[in-house]
Amino acid sequence: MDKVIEVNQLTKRFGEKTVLQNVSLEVPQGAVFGFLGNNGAGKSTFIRLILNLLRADYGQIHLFGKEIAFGEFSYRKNLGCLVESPSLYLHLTPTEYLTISQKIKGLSKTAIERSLHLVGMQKFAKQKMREFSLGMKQRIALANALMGEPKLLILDEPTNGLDPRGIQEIRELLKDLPNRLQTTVFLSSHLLDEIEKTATHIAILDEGTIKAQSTLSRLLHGQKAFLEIDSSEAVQVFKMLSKNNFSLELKSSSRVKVVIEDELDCPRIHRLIFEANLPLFQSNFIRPTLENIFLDTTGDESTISGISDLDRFNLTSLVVTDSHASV
Amino acid sequence: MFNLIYLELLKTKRSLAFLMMLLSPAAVVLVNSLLLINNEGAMVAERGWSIFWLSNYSMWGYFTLPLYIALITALLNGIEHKVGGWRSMLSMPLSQWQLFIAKFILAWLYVLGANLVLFLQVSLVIGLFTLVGYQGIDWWSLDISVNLAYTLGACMAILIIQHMVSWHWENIVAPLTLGVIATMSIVQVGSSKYWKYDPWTYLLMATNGANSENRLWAIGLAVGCTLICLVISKFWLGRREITC
Repeated sequence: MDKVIEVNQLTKRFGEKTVLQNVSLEVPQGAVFGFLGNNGAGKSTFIRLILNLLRADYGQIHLFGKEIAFGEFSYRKNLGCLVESPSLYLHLTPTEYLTISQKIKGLSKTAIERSLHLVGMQKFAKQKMREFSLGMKQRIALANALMGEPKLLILDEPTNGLDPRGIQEIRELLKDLPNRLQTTVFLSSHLLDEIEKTATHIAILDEGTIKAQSTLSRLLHGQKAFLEIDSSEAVQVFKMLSKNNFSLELKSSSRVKVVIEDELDCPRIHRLIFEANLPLFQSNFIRPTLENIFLDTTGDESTISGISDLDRFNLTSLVVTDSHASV
Repeated sequence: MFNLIYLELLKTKRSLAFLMMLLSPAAVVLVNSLLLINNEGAMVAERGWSIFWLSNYSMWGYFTLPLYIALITALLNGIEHKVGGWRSMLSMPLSQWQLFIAKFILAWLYVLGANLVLFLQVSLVIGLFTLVGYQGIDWWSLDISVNLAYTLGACMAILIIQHMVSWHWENIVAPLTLGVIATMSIVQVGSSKYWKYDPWTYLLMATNGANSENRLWAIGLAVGCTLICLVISKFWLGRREITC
């Protein structure tokens, strides 16, 4: 599969502060690529570098297979973007606003109607944007990004300000874009749930470095489910299950976390606890989520397990927990 | 480029730009009309309507037009500063230089428009004064097109400097402060031998018509100053990052 974005060893400093450090990333064609990171992780800086709004201190950026030098702009014709908050000229109508992209990109006038239709804003085409809600403005900014059906769509928090129905509509639209328009979507967000529901590929950025990069299914598959057991005799439970070769962790004096290799382990664990005559208040089976992965990856003590070497990228603080028990 | 200028014009739709183009010359014509009324028309009776035109034109050149240029360039760039339009515009297949030039040309066209409005308003007022009985010894002896050409040439230096300042500084106070301070200095510096070092005086020299040699110098210096600023801008914009 061709790579739409390929970034090698990208580094960006603002004065003494290093915002991005040796970031390498590959976005395959047709992917919905979720770019995750906490506030201040460097997501927007990365996007600005891709758009050539900033100059990299070190590293190369290849877009559509071609290296991009600072100052180049013609490649942006194949690109639509929404960076941070929507930059709308509120005294204009959506049609007037989208005329700017239409003319600059050399598109036909029907592109405006098509774009407004995609985001469900065709009814408001002649209304001044000053009167719009935040969600409506966000849709117009998205319509602007979609002008001309770009090959690459770069979106920074696209569902900001949208109501639940709007979020769902935009999510469906983004998921559909690769098939419908052969568009690759690069989606930067800190909304894990949204990314999990939308993205096919994931990269996690933390403090300017990429901590993990893979397809979503590989990341989730690589992460094991676990059982959280609440008991007044948690230490005894921990010792007993350790003897039975479970990977586990004593979370507190009343909670034990057991890694589940096979779902059939759950009844076995419960049976072992009852047979040992130990108290059991509560037992929760927790499936791996993107949130677990993200928190583990960006936290101080990472405990991600089961990600293959291929999937790991600069995963510096990874601890594999299925081979040993830790207290 | 025509597309880009059209789009920049579109952005000023429903903004104050068009209103300013009508009101700035109107303020000059109003002041001079009141002076004529106060004078009971003696000024034009003795020296003709040309002196009324010259009076409007001079006040326009050394006072109102420099301030109008400061305002219009601040407004054209302020549209982007206000909403973070730079990153939106410059994420499209467009260079900073192209956008810079488009805004500069549009600002110049607004100056052209304001000059034409001044001409129309003065003509209208002369017609109205004639209807109410004011008589001039002549109707029109100044070559308007030559005056207009001198003004449009001489104003370019101020236009490019104000445009650079407005482009760079997000805060509208910076270009306006520069505009006001530089305009206040026009008369004093313009009457000294150092006027050639102050681009704001070029307008005064080009519009007062007293000294044709100075007029040519003013045009030449304005064009030279503009070219130098364009070269600096080309270099500067080629290296400038968009951080806002």
